[in-house]
Amino acid sequence: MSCRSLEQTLLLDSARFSATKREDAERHAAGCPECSQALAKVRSSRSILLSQSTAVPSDARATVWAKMQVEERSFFGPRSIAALGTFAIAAVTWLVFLRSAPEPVETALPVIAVEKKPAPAEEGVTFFGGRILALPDAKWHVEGRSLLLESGEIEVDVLPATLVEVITAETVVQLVGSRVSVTRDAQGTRVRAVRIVRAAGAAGADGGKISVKQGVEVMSLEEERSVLVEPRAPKKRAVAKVVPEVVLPDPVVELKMAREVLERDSPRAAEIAERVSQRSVPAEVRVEALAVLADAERRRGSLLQAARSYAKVIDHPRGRGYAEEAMMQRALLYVELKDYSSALNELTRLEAQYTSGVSAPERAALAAKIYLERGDARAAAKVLLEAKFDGRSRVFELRRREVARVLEDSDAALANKLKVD
Amino acid sequence: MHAHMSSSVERELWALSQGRTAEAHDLEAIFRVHFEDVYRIVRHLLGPSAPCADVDDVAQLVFIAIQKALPSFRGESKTSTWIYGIASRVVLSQLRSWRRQSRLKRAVEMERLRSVPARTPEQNISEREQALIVWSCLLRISPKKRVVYLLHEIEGLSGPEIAEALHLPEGTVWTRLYHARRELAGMLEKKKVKEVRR
Repeated sequence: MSCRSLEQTLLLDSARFSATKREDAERHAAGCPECSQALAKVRSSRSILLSQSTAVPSDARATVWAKMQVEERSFFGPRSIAALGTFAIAAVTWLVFLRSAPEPVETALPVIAVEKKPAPAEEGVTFFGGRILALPDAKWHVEGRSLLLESGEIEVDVLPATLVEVITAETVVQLVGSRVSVTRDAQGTRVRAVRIVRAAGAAGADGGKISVKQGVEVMSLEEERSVLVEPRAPKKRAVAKVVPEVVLPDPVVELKMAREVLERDSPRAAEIAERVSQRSVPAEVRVEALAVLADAERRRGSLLQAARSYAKVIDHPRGRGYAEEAMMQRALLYVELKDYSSALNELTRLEAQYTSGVSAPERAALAAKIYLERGDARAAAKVLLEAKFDGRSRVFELRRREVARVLEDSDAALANKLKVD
Repeated sequence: MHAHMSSSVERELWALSQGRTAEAHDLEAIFRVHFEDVYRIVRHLLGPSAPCADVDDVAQLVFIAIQKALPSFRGESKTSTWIYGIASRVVLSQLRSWRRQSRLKRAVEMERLRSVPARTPEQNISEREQALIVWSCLLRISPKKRVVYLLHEIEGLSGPEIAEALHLPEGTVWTRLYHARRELAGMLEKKKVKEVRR
C-alpha cells in the first residue's frame, strides 16, 4: 500500500477531515484502484462486525454479580490503606517463571477467609488466591493478579499452584505457594521470603517458589533469605538533535516543470529555475537551472539579467554544452539593447571558440544586421561572403538578399556577388 | 453507538460520586444500570471467541475499577465515555498477558476450523465465517490500535470521544485508527489472495 492519499481515504468515513478534503479523497479513491480496494475492505469489515450479535447471555449478569460478591470483601473493606499511586508496570516475565512453576489457574480460586477484625497493625485482604497483609502506611493497589506497591511494607501470602506478582519500581516479585514480605523505601525494594511451601513429592516440583527480577536477571529466593533491589540510576538519554526534515521536490522534476511552463508563464519558470540553482544540487543540474533561468528572464523582458545569467552558463565548468547557444543569446540581447559593440564582441568570441559550430550562419547573419544598422553595408557583405558553414540557412539567405538590395545602388558588383553566392 | 446512557443515569452516577466513600450498595446501583454496557464493551474488545469465563472475569474487573474511580468522577465527561475509558484500560491491561492474547487468537482459529452450525436459522454461515476471518485479522493488530478501532467501528465513538476516554491526544487516536484500518485491509487482502491460490 503505497498511495500517498491512503490515509485520507481510510479515514474518509470518520469525520477526520473537512468536507472539502473528504470530497477530494472520495474523488481520488474513485480513480485509485489501491485506495478504492482498501476502502471497500474497511467498509465491509465494519458491516460484518456490526452484523454480529451483541446480545448479552442471560446468565452473565448473575455470574458476574456472584463473582463480585466473592470479591467484595477484598475491595470494599476499610479503604484507609488503599491510597492509589500510578506506576510504570515492569515487563512481566511469565515465560521465565512458568518454565519452573506450575501452570497458574486462570479463574479466581476460592478465597481464603479473612478475619473481620484484623490485628491493628495489619489489614488482611484477598485477591486471586492470595492474601495481602499490609502495614497501615503502605501504598499499594491491585490490578488483576498483580499487586503494585508504591511505598511501605506488605506481606503477601499465596496459595499453592497460584501465581501472584508484586511489582515495584525496582523489581517484579513472582510467587507461588509462598509468603513474602516486600518493603519499598528510599533505598529500594527489599524482598524477604517468609515461608515457602515444600511439595510432598519431588523436591520443589510442585512446591512454592519466589523469584525476584534484578535488572535482566531473575533469581530464586530461598526461605528466610532476603534481597535488596536498589533503584537503578536513571539512564542518560542521548539527546538527539531534532532537525526538521524538509522534503524538497526532485530538482530534475522541477526543472522539467520549469521548461514546460517557460513559454506561457516565464516568471514562474524563472522562479522555479532560480530556486533550483540556489539549492545544493549536482553541477549538471545547476548549470541547466541557470540556462532555464536565463531563457525565462529573456522571455519576460529582463534582458540585462538574462545576459548575466547566460554569462554564468558560459563561465560554468559544466556549461560547455550550453555555451555556444548562450553566447549567441547574449549577442542577440545586446542587439535588442542597441549595444552593438558588445554584441559584435560576443559574436567574435563565439566565432573564435566555435568556428564551425551550428551557430555559424546565424552569427554571420546577426553580424551583417549589426553592420547594416550602423550603415556599413560593405562590412555586412564582407561578413556574409566570408562565412563558412555546411548546408543552408534561411536566416542567412534572407540577410544576404537584404544586404544585396542595399548595395545594388552603391556597389552593384558586390551586390551581384552576394546574389551569385 | 448501541446504547446511550440516559441523563438520569448520569445524574445517578454523579450523585453516587458525591458520597464520601463508595459503599457496596453504590456498586450494586452501578452494576444494575451499566452491566449490559460493560459486558458488551468487554466482549467486543476481547473478540467473539473469548471464553465466557474470560469475559465475566474482565467485566468483573471493570466494575471494580469503576468502583475505585467513582470518587474522582466529576461528571465532566459523558458517563458512557468514562465507562468506555475504564473498560478499555482494564481490557488493555488484561491483554498485556501474551497468554490471553494467544488464547484469543487460537480460539478464533479453532472456531474457524470447526464447522459449527449457525446458532439461529437466520444467521448466515458465510457471514459468520467472514466475521471470524475479520476477527482473526483484528487479533493480529496490536491491542492499542485494536481498541481504538473497535471503539470507533463498533461502539461508534468519535475521535474526540475516544481521545477523552483513553486519555490520548486526538491525533494519536486518528493515527491508530488509520494504522489499524490499513493493517486490517492489508491482512484481509493477503487472506483473499491465499484463498484464491488454493
